[in-house]
Amino acid sequence: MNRKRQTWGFIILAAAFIAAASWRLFAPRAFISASPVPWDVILRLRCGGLASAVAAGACLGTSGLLLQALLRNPLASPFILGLSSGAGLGVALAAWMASAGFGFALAFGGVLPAAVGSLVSLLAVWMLGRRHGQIDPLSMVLAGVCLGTVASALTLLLESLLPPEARLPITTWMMGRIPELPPLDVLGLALFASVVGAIVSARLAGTMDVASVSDHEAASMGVRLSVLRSSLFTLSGVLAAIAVVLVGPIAFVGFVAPHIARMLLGSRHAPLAWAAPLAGATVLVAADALRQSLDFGAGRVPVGVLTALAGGPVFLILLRRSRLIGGAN
Amino acid sequence: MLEITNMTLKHGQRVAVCQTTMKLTGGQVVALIGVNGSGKSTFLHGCAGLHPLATGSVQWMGCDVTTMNFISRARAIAFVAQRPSLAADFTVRELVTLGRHAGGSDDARVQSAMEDVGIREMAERPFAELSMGERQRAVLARALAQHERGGLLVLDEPFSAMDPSASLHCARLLGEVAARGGTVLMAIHDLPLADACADSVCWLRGGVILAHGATAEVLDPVALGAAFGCEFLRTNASLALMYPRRP
Repeated sequence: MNRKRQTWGFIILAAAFIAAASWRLFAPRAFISASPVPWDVILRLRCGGLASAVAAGACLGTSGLLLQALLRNPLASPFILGLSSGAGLGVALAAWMASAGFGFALAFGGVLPAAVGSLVSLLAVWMLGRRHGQIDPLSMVLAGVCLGTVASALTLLLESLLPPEARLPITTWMMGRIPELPPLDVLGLALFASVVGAIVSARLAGTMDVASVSDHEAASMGVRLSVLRSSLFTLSGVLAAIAVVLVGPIAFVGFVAPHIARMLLGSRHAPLAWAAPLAGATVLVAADALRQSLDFGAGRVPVGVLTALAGGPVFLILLRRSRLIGGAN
Repeated sequence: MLEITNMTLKHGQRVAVCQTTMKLTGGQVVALIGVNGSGKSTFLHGCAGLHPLATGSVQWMGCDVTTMNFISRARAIAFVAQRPSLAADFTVRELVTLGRHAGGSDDARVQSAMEDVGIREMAERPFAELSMGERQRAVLARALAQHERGGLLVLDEPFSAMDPSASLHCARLLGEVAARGGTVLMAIHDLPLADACADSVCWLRGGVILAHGATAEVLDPVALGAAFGCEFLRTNASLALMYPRRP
């Protein structure tokens, strides 16, 4: 029964991914245009955009899955918990330092400051979201939203301190944008991280399953929770940071992807370790393809706007459901 | 054999269990009784190696449970918490399968644990949709799937939400586990049921062992009545709790 469901789940996800990727590669620029896309555009620009969306979506999907397991909270995601905003603040701070003559701050595409910002945010949310030593899902979400807002405000402040010529790239990046000509080192790192993230998640899957019961029961079944949580904590933070460096702080992909995967394949983490990154990649590629096909006559719509518009209502529905069943904890 | 020596357990600065010493030999069901807040749950956590000891030691078969390897301890000691909780949307079968995490995958053991507890027909139902009594049966099945022959089962009020028939069935099942060489240590508030199924009783009061011995000796109706504020009656074969009718 489960195996059949998992097989069908993977088939559906793979078909959705192929459809989204084909749309992104071959669809004309706007719905109204019927002219075929030249091959050099496909090879020069769209392949780069597709690779960026796949890498970032997979990193976000895995990061969301690990965060939901770490916090025992189905509402957790890199964006909602402020990791994306923290990573964004790290990059903005590094850009400001670079503009002041400390160029090394932005070394390797800003991955290091993004990772530091992401992990500091996660640590703060972890500490603020506990009551009487127990994880409180709602407190954690509220702490994440507050910290994310503060981090975004500080990012805007730093942005206003930058020289005018350095502002535009930061502004468009902050809105969430899939680069068609991504820096190859960052893209390569993101693709590598997405594969490593899935492999490590698959290795930790059985332990994550057990960790979904209470702390004492999980420990009594042989799980070293401190080791598991340190691993999930670090991996989810680094994956979110790499995705943010590549495509900006894109909302809700890391939240929705694990839920789509669970809906199709069930709740065991072994298949989810592969399905969540695939779902994340599919969602982000589809959003980018939709962005490409929309033409409001005012230039490109940032893909982050579309993911937020679609993901916000889904989040509210799941928030309501989780409160109705008395929270996830 | 479980050997507890001068075990003191604290919650912050508050002492919950004070200088307790006890030896349990294998092959018996031990009921842990006491009023609310007497330290039963903390005592069980200490015995299972899940609460740091302020003083003393707890040894299972000569090994210190607080320093045992996690996997070895999971193979030796299975634990059921007072309130079963599950953050994932697992079915009953998936939950019971978690019990095999340390011992290795074994579908036959999982199936047999579900059959023993009487939840085989619920195997594909989501755990979240079960009643509290059914959930308690499911987590008991998980502990049985984890339990190795001759091991220790530590259960914190495992029957508190079950109906009388399910309670009696599960209590008899624990008796069978003990008859096969296992040791069962469980906190229980249903004193007539403890009287019916336990080989010995340990009575905790204020974090201190007040009495430990054969069931019929410790469950003395007069002493119980004074401690719990209810009337108990011992008939030929069993203990009965007499609630006064509302005036």
